[in-house]
Amino acid sequence: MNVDRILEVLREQEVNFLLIGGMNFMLRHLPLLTFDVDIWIDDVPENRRRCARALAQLQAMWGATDETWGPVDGNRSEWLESQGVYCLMTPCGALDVFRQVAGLPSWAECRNRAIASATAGGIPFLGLCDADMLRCQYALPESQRHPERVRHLETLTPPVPDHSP
Amino acid sequence: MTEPLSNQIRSEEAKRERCVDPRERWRALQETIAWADAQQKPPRNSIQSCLERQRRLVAVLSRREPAEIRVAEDRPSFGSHY
Repeated sequence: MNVDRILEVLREQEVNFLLIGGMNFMLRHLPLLTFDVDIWIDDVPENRRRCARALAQLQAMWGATDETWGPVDGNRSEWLESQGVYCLMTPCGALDVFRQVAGLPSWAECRNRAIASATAGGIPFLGLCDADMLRCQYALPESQRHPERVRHLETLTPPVPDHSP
Repeated sequence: MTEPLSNQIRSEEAKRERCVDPRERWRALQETIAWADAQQKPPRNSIQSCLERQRRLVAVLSRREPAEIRVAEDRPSFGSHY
């Protein structure tokens, strides 16, 4: 997987996004292996269009069904409006695009407190702050949380209200 | 977007697993491991890291009683505990 390339293309296409999930945790904290890149995009029409262009450039594959799975390049322009999350495959690796994230306030609010960082290859990115990463975990059913991630984040952040479902 | 997000994520991930060629997925996973390793400073496979790992393992062995080591050596080995 070339995560640098994914982040680079998103930046080239001026997509407003935050890195979330395991990759954000791995890059900023502990080397726990994760297999997908998760991004949360600012869910406004112009940003969705930029994101669709970036995904086409990355030669991403996706389909609404197994039968329609294929390159996203030829999709109608509004294909990123139909659901809250898209799990795509690119030659650079698996990429999950979220339009909404459970347990968090607005994208803009999280963007304001996001942490600027960079990969070892020097590609800059904005990632969810530690407290928001923890909120994401608390929003999951306990069986789906990542205990090691939660334990580590709890040592770094002031107590965050647990809104377990 | 009426379906709960957690259900959407599960069904989207399952669809991707069905639709992606397993060989392509495996290639991507191997590259992920290599890329993730390259993010560590210093990388896990650097001389510095290997020597540091060796130093930790030797320290653990030296703390064990000789009898304990002999018993451990007599047992069939199914892989490293480290």
